Amino acid sequence: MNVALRQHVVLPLILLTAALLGGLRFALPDLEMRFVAPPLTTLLLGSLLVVLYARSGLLNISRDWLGVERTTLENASNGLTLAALFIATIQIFNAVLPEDTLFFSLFAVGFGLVFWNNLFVPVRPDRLVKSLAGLLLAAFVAKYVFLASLFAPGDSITRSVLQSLVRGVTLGTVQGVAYAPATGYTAFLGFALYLCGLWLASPPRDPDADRLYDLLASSDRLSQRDRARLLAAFRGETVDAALVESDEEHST
Amino acid sequence: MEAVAPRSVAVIQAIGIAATLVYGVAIAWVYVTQPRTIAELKNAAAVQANVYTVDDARFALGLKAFRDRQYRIAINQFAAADPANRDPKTQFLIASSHYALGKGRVYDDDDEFAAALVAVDRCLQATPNGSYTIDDASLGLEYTSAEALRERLRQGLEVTPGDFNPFASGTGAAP
Repeated sequence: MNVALRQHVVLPLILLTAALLGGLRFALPDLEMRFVAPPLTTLLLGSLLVVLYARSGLLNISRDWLGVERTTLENASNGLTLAALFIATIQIFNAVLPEDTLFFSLFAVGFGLVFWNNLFVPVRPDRLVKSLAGLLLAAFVAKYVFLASLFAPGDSITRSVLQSLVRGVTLGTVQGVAYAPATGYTAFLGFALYLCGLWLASPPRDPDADRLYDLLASSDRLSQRDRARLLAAFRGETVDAALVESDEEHST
Repeated sequence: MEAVAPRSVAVIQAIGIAATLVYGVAIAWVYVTQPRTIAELKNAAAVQANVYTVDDARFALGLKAFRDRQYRIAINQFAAADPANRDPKTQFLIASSHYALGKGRVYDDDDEFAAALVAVDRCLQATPNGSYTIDDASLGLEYTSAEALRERLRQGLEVTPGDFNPFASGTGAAP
């Protein structure tokens, strides 16, 4: 009952709230709301990330979400939840990517390369979430702490010097967009909700599977004997025969 | 072959689908309508739900100011009475107030006429058939039809040789 409530009601609502907050900005000086639609690049990054979720096992569509063995209602509900996850993913990029063209391009290319690289390496779902959280947090800090303070309106001499320096280095291509600090708070809330949503959507941890992953990921740390035993187990042979064979190979 | 879910789980799934759809549509609507403040959001939601009404007390204050020829006060009160700009009568009276302020014997004030034109356009947009006539003779309005007022405002905003004639009145013939 609780699991159903979590998966079919709480999870999509959390993800949709993250999606709502992802594009929300507060303009200075009157704190007027602006709902910024996601740029096309965030759609591409979102698609890449969802593929990465599926590849890492964070989203096992056929096992946990959709299939003919499920009821129509369950398929519809899970389908909507997956759609909400996709929209929230897009909006989180909308929230953390800087709006200035130069920094936006740099961050978008950075994200794209990291995701592309992760597509070709085995990665555990929980570690993917942790690394993604770190990546998004770094982008958040760059946008809402560094760039926001750099381009905040005011008459600080240090800030003016830094602004001139950044504009000079980038040949004047950097034009900071100043939003009220409330934007950062709502973006952080959206970011936190998105991570909560990912945690709720992820499959339960299996200690054996984690141990196996660790063993295979660091097979060079296994002794010759353990490696032979492991391979024998995979091949379906008896472990004793494999050990004898391994010892013979070792002696020759 | 579909599995048969327990009734309680099916109910939760149905609630989840309904809640997700409603919330998702509401979020999409917010992004499309782009409200700037919470008050604007509430007004837009009320209009969408067809429960929007003009603030009667503010409207009455505006009407009183209009009758007393205190047009600036009338405009402020009418604007506060109809924050969503959806009531044709209120918008027509705002346009009439701007017109009264802008109409001159020698020349018309373009800023007031432009504001009046915006208001009269909102009035016509808010009506289902794109036409509006006020039926309150006690207001003593020069123009009772929104279309006629709009035409007069357009003429007032155009630069014609008559604008340079110091003896001609800025007003056209009222219907």
